[in-house]
Amino acid sequence: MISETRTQIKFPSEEFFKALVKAANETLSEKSLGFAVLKMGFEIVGANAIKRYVINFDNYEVSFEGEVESFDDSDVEAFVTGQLPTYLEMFKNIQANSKATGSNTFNALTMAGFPLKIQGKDQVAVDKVFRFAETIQHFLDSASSLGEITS
Amino acid sequence: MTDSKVKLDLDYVERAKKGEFDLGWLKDTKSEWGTKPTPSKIGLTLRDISYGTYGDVPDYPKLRTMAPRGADIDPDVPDMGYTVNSKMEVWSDNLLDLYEEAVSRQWSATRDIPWNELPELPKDIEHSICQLATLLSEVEMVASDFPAKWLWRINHDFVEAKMFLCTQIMDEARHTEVFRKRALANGGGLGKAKAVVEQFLKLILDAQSYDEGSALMHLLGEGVVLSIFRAGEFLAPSDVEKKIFRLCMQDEARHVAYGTMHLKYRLERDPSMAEDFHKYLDRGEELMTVLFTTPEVVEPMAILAAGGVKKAEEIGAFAADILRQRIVEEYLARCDKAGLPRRDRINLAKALLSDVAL
Repeated sequence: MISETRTQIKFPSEEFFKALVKAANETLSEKSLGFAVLKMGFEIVGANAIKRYVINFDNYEVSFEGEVESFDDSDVEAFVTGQLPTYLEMFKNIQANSKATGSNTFNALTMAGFPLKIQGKDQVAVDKVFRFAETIQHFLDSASSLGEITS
Repeated sequence: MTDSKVKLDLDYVERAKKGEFDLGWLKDTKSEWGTKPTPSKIGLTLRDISYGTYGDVPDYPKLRTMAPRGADIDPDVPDMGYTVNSKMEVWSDNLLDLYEEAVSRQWSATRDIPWNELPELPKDIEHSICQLATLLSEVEMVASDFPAKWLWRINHDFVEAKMFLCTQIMDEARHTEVFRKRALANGGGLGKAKAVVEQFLKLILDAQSYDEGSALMHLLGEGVVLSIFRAGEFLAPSDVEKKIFRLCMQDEARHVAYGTMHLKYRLERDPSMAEDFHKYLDRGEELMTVLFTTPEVVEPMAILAAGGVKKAEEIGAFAADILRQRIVEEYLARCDKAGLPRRDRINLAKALLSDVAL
């Protein structure tokens, strides 16, 4: 019996977000969810470093804008922040189930402000994340088609 | 029956049959002509066509007519009797974009929810989700009824605001539908409908002005419901409810975005209205306090969070506490954004504020 091994992809990394964006665009372009307009950040707090990445939901596509030192000088409208293990657990759940389930959905993880927290310029910017909740979940669920996610 | 001002030219029928056309409309139309806007990436949007005079939305329209804004209007059009005739009563800077977003993101409660994947649930869990669905099916329709009540009273020069309210009416009808369907879809049924909930809905419908109703509904009521949708997704017993709550929260967040930015627009142009809005929210928050102490609202959440009645009784209503904190903190943050800070004025019982960051 030949066992199938997945290639590995490091998280967090530019390679990861580029791959996630590519995977998400394959289905977002079907337009069934409607358009989304939001420049959003992902902040991952690791043991030794904090990494920040910018994703742009641009109508019917999503693009990777790059890694940044700080969201303060960017035009990110809202960003999600949390510890690396939380993100890894979320992606592990997504890859095991082809989509996030139970307490691993983006909303569930951010609902109480922990273990992930959404921050924005103001509450209207934070609320914008909820306006595109299904698109953001779809984006994250696209990790199910990536290689094995490792830290 | 004809209006005495309308002159009938029955001879026109005969002239037209012979090709003796009037053509006044073709030769002499006094409106902006000849511009061709470039459609945006997503298509031709309201912003794309808001050019020149067509994009000028008057603060106080001269007429009360259904004639399209920018058209060449007959001087003797009838007065439609609109009672909301100032732009700041209905407008917001995000209106045009929210309309396009709403139209783009419509979904179907029949087709887009995987109803056939509903699992059989323990009785207390099914009953809890049915009670929550009953509450939501009850309250959502007010957010159709209120806009509908005011829609035909709003001056047609603010047509984009009216169009956005039409999308809200459709959104909320769909929410009423999806929660009624959920209550009836899985062996449960509809639960209790409480008087206190009805009292809050009546407050919105009885509002004496669009301002009052919008503050109570868009800013306060829908802000609460948005948080309930988020909590619902978090506590959902299956992926089916998660999908329902995620799709609903998208719609609700649009309505809240309009309400917050509409109030901001209003107060920037008429700061003297601030105390009026404070009084509307004083009354609304008073009723909101009662909601937080109503078992039919608090206990289903507690049971869903704990995974059953027995466990809920052991650990208490922590989920309801988290929800209440989120509701109050996010609502206060929206009030700040709207230019109506309420941190020193919020009218909730102290016991409900002890764990809230004011």
